[in-house]
Amino acid sequence: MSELPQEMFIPLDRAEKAGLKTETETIAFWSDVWRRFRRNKAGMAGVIIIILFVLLALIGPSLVPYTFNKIDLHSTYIHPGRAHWFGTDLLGRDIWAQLWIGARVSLLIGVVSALSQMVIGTIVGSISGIYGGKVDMIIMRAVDILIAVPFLIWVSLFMLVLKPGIQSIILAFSITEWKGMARLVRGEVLRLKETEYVLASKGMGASTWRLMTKHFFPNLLPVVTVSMTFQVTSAIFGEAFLSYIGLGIQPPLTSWGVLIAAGINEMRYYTYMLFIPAIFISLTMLSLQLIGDSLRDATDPKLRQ
Amino acid sequence: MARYILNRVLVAILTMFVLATTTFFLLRLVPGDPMAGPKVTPEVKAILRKHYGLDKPLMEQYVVYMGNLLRGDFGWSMAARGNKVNNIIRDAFPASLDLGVRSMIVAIIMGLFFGIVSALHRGKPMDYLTVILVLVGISVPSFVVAGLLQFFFGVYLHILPVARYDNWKSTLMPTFALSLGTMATLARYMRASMLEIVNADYIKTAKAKGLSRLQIVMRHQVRNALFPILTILGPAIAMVLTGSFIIETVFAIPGLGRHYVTAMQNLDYTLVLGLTLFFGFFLIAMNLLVDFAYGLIDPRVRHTRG
Repeated sequence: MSELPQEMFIPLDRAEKAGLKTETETIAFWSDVWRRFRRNKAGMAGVIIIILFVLLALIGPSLVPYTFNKIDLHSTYIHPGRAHWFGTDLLGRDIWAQLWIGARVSLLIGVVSALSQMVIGTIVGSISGIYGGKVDMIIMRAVDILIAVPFLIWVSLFMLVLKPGIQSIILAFSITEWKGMARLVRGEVLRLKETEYVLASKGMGASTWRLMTKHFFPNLLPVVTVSMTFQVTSAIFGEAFLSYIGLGIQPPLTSWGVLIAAGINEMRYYTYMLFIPAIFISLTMLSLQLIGDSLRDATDPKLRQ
Repeated sequence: MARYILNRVLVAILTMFVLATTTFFLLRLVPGDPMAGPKVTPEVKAILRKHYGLDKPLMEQYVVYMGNLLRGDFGWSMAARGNKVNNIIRDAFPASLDLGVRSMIVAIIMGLFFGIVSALHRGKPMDYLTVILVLVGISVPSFVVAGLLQFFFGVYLHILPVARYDNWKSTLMPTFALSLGTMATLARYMRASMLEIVNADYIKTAKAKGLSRLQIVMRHQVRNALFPILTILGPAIAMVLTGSFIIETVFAIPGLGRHYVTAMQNLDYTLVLGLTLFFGFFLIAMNLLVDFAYGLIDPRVRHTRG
């Protein structure tokens, strides 16, 4: 081994080094995912519905001449019709306007909580997976304890402490719901650590940071994205649950949970108040579920054709 | 196996301890005063605070609470004055247990049935029907299901009572509403689990031996597909438990779930604390049982972790 004289090793200059770079952008994978995703009709239907709902959440309230919290005691409980597309409630507030303001609140809570859970979960999970040992044990015990109690109980407890509102709900979801993502990411990191390309990269002296940004994160992205889609659903449901039991969004602000709670109280004579928000929240959950399912299939290398 | 059990039990005890401590201190941070009220004068309040031990330093309250907890005493309810949390749990638990057990049975039987049938008829109408059922079960929130059921069968058709829980007819809607989500989840996992082993070597062997289709399905495929399902029984029980908060509130069932929701609305710290711990302990115990059952049934777990 020591027979090789030092002179045989000549350091490359910068220009030469750049020419030897073999890394390419990893666009191929995502364009392939998109190609496979597009073929799935159910997933595409979900995407179209969600886009439509997001658009309506943005412009819906301004399509009618009423604001969502405008009380009009001369026009209470109007059934859906030309004047009020989706009718009015006990205080004469227009339900169409409330529905789309509620959609803003519900979708915002869903997306932002899912994003922050993803960030926390990915960071905690990768630390746990990369460092292992005591750090890993402590983190995984914490996860076990969080998992032992259903997240709705944790979230309700936090909501008792925090001031009710959108930020608090997002905060409560972020504190309690990163555990699933952390477990998932840890498992993936442990699996990736054993792969040959990571070993090769390590052998060439790559730093932990480089391993993370170059190998772990891009490979984690598919599983994390899929799991995030489902987290959005669970956050939207969680918000509706909290608002239903009175710990979530407080009037005069509204959300789908608030509207459904009102609808259940009034369904005996004013069924539309239950049906309208029920249909929209169910369609949203269904679409997200379909997107998640088809995204999972599209990112699964085993199902690649 | 003995070491595995011991290890799991120790972790469970630690989890319960951490849960009790976190919840205790978390609830002390809750703003608002459970003793507040228009008729409560400062003197009365002082007496009440003394009665509940709220005048002592926080750490002392904690030690007293944990000591009582070890003896199985959850303390006094703050909103339902003169009522012990233990008594509330004792009175309300039977209704919740009844509803929970019924829902679990319905969810397991129907979930497995749909999962097996759709896996056996993969790509045929029965499969699509199940997939639709599963998607509806997962996407429609339980309170929406409960509200719609109440409307159709209670208000519109008048064939089932809208609320309460006293005869078998009144158990139908709550049971269905509570079991739907879990049923869908179980059906989905069972279907996937069945399809995973459809090409397993032992199934091929069974076919080669010339066993009938029924024998292969029942004795080999279903049996082996059931193992992974056991692991989601724990989460399924948790799902039914949290689902009961909503279902019991919607149907006015005097169970623990409804008490939990009202206790939160009334800022009844001791009741919220007691019920959280009760639910937590119950779920931890259930998960332990599921784990042990898994260890007993699956020889691979029994031997490797022993």
